[in-house]
Amino acid sequence: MDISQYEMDNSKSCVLTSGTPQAAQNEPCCLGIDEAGRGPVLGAMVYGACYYPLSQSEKVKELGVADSKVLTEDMRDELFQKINSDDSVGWLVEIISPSDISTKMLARTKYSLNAVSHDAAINLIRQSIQKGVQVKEIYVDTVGVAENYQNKLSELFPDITIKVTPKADALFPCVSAASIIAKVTRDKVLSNWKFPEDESYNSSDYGCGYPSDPATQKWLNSNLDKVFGYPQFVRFSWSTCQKILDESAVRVHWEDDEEFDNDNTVSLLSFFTQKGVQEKAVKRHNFLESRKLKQVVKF
Amino acid sequence: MSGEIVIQDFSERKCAKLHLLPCTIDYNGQANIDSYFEPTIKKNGEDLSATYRGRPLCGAKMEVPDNYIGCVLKETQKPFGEDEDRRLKISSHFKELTYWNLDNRTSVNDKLQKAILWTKIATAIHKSEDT
Repeated sequence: MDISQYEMDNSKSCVLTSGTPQAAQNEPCCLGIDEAGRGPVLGAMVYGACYYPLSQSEKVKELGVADSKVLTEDMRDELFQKINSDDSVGWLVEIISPSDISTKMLARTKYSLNAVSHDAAINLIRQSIQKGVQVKEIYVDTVGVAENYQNKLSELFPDITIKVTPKADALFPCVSAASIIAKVTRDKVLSNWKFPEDESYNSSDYGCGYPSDPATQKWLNSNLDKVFGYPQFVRFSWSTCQKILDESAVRVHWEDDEEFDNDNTVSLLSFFTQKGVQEKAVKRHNFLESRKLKQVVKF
Repeated sequence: MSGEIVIQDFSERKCAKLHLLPCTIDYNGQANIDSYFEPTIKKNGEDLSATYRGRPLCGAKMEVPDNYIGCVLKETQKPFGEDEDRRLKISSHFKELTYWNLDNRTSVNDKLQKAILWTKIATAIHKSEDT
């Protein structure tokens, strides 16, 4: 798989696609969606979609696709080659950069990982339809409550039969294929990560990126910058990361922190003090107030 | 407490690169800005974007107005007691700085951009009428 388009700027999410098979534009198709790298604290999350004409379902099943988690890396690579070279099967992947995950989840208006995931799936469906794929059935592994997710998708795509279910990657071949494509992409993105921050990171051993992986833990503990925290490769919104920052990095206060709000709360005692006793400060002109301009004669 | 600013000749020194962030960092000193912050800045026309601790920042460059000089002051030695004056030295100077908003596009309504307007008003109100 060629991921050079993403590697040009790995802070920016992007969609990579196979060519659109002619058969998929002429015949009704099924489309499966699955994700890889949702849990890790490091690197991109990948959403994969795989589609093919319903008439080819048996053939795809015979390729031996299965849930990517029960396959070895070599088996996944081999299956991806088979999927990729089959002229009736098409695929798309959306690579969601770790920096996009962090900034969305830590924006002023917080955006949940489930919402990020739903948007990625919806985007992949839209792009498939735009490419002329005759999507008739969609199978998705669930994120959050399956029923809500299914209703959300059905409202957006009323003409398509949609099935959202847990373990879809083990039940439906098109979802298995999507999970393999997503996993192969995630692995490639993770192992080839180029750190714009510092080249010396490129050769460091960061493991598979899961918070439970000892290599990942070791990397997180030995690469902390007390001011900046980590390179953008790390998902700052993960509690694993936040915990290390809270404990070992210097504190940072933001204007939308809760502690800032508390400062504005009027102390109850202030209601009991006599008013007008203290000399009133001269009120500055609104022009200066709104610009936070103050005269400084002493410092 | 009063104090003085020691102005020494800084024309020979290199201009400093400045970033004004929308947060308070409980730290004073050297930081790896060159490796952690600057390489991650993205440019889209005049708009800049970057991240700090995973939070989205929107930035813009601002020039120091004509006839003004930007100075970074440093207190090399803290006064020994309350009665002693503070002494601040100019440690570096700058002609432009980049300021950053948290997750809001920069605009002419940002406080810093508006505050700098004061320099124009100051010039106007202190100008002698020669006519």
